[in-house]
Amino acid sequence: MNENGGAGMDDEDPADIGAGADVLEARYRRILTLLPAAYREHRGEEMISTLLDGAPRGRRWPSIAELASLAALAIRLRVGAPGGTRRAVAVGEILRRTALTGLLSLGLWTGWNGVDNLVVLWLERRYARHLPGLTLESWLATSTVPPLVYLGAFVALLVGWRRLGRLLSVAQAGYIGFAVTRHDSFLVLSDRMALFALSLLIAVAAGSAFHREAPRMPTPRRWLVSAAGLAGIILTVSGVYSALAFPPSPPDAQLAEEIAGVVGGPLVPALAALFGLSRARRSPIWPAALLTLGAPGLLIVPRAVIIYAQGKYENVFVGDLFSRSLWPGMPVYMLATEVTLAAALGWSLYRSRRRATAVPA
Amino acid sequence: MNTSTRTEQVFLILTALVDQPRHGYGIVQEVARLSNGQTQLKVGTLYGALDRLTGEGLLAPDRDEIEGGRLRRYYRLTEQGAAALAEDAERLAAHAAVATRRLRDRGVSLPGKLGPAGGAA
Repeated sequence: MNENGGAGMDDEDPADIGAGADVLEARYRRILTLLPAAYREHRGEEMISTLLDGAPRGRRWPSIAELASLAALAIRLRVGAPGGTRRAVAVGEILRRTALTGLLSLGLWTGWNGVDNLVVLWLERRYARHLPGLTLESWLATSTVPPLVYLGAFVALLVGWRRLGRLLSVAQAGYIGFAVTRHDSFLVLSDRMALFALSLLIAVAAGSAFHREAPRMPTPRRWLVSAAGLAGIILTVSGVYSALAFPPSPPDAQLAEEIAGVVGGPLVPALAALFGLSRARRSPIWPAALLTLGAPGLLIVPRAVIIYAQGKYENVFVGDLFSRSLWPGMPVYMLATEVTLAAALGWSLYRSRRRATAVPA
Repeated sequence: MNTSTRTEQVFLILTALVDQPRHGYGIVQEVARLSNGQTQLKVGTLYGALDRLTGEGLLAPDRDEIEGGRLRRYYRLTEQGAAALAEDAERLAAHAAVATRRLRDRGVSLPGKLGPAGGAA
């Protein structure tokens, strides 16, 4: 019996055991290729020793638990765990900002809708009963739960309750996945794909970059104060907008439509582009994070191009930016924002490389 | 990393290195022994923790040895690591003492070492 308690293996041919150990070692080495090359070079041999010492005698296949643990380590190392490269540290910082900004954005967006629903309910209680299949409870739940999940995940990740934050981040992707696959969804396929891809990106970014060895976010108080300020402004505007728009009367409804046209259209992409540009001078992290976050939004562009090419550009493209559709002009805004952020990122990378290679006078 | 965010696994790894330097599998075995088999460290978890604790200066590589053609790297607890562990141990002991006292006040009988004969209270 070996020190790991390989009971019942004493009758085996030593040659078989030796061959089994070689096979197991080869398999462990293959799994270790998941790790970054520099880390493997530094740690690989001692990890192999530890893995083989811990394997029961006669084992030929790595256990699922070890495989999962090494795969998780490989992910953590690539998103900035101690022992990772400078690039991995940067990737971790980018993904953490991507996740937080995405959660905050979707929290505010769903919060906008939630406040809108609650104001309508307060002004005209029967409204909820008029929609087929919708009870007061489900109306309240769909108005309040999504913003609470997004904003709850945002706060949890910021203050260090990582397990809760990651759980909520994954849960929101599950909810969006369920919602966009419903047959009665009012969104077109490309919009549904974009929304789901965005929620999936947020879940993956939060799940991978807020691992247990990730550094805490710097200045969480500044994040929280900024988020609270933004939420206060946006939710107040939403409440006022809803009060003006309901019950519908032509002059007020017109103003409300215009507010909604700006808020739901160019405002957020423009703010993102301006923020990315302003931060590009300091470091490429923010432009990269916002560029990543906006990437799923590009899924709505091909449909717009096709429709434009067919001459059916109502509600989709330039010339009809403020029409009364769900996301008027959004493909143009998304494309312009992503191009701006990509340029800001390129410029920032160029600047930081030039600084790094500059010879002091 | 501050005291309150160190996990039980990290606490056990630090404890495993108090008496002598150990290599990776030695740490796995000692942690299992200290926890009565309840904590079985996986290699990915172990090396993630070793990277972090080494980076924080709580552990340091001690020596490398080749045994049976395999590399064994030993780790030792630094003075800073010993101080951090002492702080953790004191904090946990204080929490345990409060919990034990309150459970006794409530009339809950405590099994094992915390029972009527022994105890931390």
